[in-house]
Amino acid sequence: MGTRAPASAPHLFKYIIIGDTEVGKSSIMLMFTEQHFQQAHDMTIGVEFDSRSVQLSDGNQANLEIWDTAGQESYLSITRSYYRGTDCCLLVYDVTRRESFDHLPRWLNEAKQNASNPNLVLMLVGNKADLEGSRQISRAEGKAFADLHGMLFVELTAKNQNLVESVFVESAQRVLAVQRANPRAKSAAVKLQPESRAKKDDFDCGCG
Amino acid sequence: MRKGDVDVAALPTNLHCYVFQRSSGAAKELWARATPAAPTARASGLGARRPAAAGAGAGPVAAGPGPRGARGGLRRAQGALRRTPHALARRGRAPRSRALAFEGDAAAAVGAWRARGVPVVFLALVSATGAELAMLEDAASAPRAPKGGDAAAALEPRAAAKALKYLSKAVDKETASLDSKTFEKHWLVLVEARGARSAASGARCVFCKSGKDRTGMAVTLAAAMFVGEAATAPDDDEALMLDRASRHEPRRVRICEKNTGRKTTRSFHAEDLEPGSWVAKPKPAPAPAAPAPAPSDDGEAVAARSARWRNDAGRVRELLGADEVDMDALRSLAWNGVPGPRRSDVWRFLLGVLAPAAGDRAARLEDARAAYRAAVVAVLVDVPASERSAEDQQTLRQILVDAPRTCPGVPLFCHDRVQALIVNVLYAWAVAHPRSGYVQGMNDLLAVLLVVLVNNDVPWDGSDAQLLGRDASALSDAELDDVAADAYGMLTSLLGGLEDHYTHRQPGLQKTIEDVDGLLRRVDADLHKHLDDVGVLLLQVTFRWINCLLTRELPMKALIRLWDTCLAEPDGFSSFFPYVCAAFLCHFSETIRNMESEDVHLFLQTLPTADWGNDEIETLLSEAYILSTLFQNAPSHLQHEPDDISPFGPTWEEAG
Repeated sequence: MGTRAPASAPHLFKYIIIGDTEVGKSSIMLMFTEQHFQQAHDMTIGVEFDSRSVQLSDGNQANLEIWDTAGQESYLSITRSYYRGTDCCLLVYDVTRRESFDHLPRWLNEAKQNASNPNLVLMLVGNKADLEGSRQISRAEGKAFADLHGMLFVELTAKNQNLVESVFVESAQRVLAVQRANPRAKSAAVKLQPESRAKKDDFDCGCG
Repeated sequence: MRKGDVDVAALPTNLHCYVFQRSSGAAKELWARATPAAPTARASGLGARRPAAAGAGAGPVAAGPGPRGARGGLRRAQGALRRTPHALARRGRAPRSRALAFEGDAAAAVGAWRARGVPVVFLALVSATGAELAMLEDAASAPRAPKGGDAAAALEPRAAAKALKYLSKAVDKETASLDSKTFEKHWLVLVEARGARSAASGARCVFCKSGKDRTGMAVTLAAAMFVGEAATAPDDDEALMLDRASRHEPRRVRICEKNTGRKTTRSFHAEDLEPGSWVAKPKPAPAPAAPAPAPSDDGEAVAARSARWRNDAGRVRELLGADEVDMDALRSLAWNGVPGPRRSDVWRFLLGVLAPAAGDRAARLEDARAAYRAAVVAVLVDVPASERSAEDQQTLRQILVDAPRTCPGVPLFCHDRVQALIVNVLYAWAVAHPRSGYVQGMNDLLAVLLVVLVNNDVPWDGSDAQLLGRDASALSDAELDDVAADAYGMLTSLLGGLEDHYTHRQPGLQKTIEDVDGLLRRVDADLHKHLDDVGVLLLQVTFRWINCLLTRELPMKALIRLWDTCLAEPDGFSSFFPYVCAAFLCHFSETIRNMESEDVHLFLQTLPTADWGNDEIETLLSEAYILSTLFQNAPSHLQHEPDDISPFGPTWEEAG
């Protein structure tokens, strides 16, 4: 609802992180929202959610709602229900695994089809760049793919907090810039929230 | 309907104000319950001053002739209400509303209040034709200070106008669907009306003719507000009284009973009603007996429970020792929880790994184990990586990645041999079941089976630390081989009934979500509506629950107790699990209904279930069981008029 908020209020941007399994989507989100790296963690079933706010360069504040999706193909149906109204999509691949890079066109297609947002900002993220020895995708190859599809591009490791931070700040700046250049496009995709002011002392009767 | 749409004078005249209806006695009952220790002197003092206005026939009237006791109670209530604005003002709180005794027709009520300069906002009106109107009167459009004594209740035009705006939106939203088949009443209108009325210092007025949903809601709201506002003594616990009013208020209970056949749809309400009353028409129990009511935490209950377990443990020994295990009896017993020792035996019987007939049980078990070992050799050991199909390679890679991600950090699963076991079982299963193949989350299911298999001797109330701390190195290779083979057999049987949960587009999972959706509409429409209001799909709420059979939502101990029951169902998780999910969701209804979208998602990711054990699960199962008895044989009850609230959202259909 960033577009409806007055200028002084923080912007609200919706993010979705997609890509093959085990490329490090959850690790990137975890590093960004909780500032730590976890070697072993549950794999994501369906979708996980978290949020954090970032300071943009012009002094604006942006609240990022981040949806971290499961990468296995069986879960495409469920993850599709989360794209609606997305402002920014992070496409993550693993620079040490060719396959995860080869699947990018499919993921790109998913994002474009389901987000149905002409202002959608796409960012290509090559993760695990610290594992130079087992690298299969060169930086140049990643950059070329990003350029070809008009995406922002970064290589990083989810272990590096500063780099992870910069991904979100940089993409959020872009989202803001795109929305300012084309302010009306997003509103159709946003589901209006009710003007609910329900408080603790409200209750229902359980009749119906 | 908005202001101006309703001609007050033309309103039907057979509308009665319920809350203070003089002959009902309900107010007195309510009052007596809400103030169990109200000192007599204070009570009579409150009643000393009679209300001033006493029109004949129509219009506000004082507590009139009626049962003697009721009149006394009403007088006290009246007095308290008349005093409330002043009392609240003295305590630095703005009066939130006023109520006037009234009996007669709506037009007269409006007239009378207007004559006193009191703005009017109707909460709910049920007309003679049954059509429902939520109507705004001239509450804030031309706010006037009320004449007479209530100087404290000065109007705040801006606040009132804002409140009216919200109310108008809520009404518009509802009215927009009035002509369609999908019209749904929403409590938000009442809450907003209350806010508007309060901001305008208006009068509360609830007419109840038919006692149906909205009116029932309004009556309950009004009754609880009445009690809450009348509570001015410093040591009155207002929250408690509101709570009591909402539970006990007899009109509400009758309405609920009339509409649903039960006196309440909430188990936590049921505890305040007489035992057994909340299922109005108990149906004959199916083979597995209804679980005992959840025991409380007192010593007696604990003693009773351990007696039950001792008894059950003896019964299990007896059943399993027979030449032919009576599977019906075993299911019935397991449904109420398997006593810890021999749980793995019981689960292996329930999942068909052990044959009921003792005669060929050992031979068949050995055959199955040999077949598993052969399968692993055939698909894994004997196949060079170069000869594996791309698809199989992909599957194996995924399983190898996921095995260490199964219960990460738990000692039992860290062991290399257990890791290898997980890979072997999952891969052998995936190759044998190409329709679905391996789907992430199946490893979580396998983990539960493994925990049970290696913990045959952990007592019933064993902790998670006990269950998960088992040192796998203490098990010999041969023992682990048998565990692997039996786990494979159990997983095959478990997933056999659920395979279409994991095939393309997950139709089985979709069906389960539809069932939960139907149940939720029936038993907790408010929650259903709230989820829609905040834009959370039921798909998003329940996907992981169904995909992983609640393994991610519950601690191991509680999970195993839950699975006892689900595995004891004749068709396993298939039929009963939707009821479990619905009951589980309703359990958190109040919390979720107070949350916006973002918080709902965060809450669902980390449900406050870390301390759950047998008691919580048995309560949950009781509720699921009750739902199943109410709806199992009447699936048509779960059907509803098509509306635009899909549990899956718009993108599901396009998936493929």
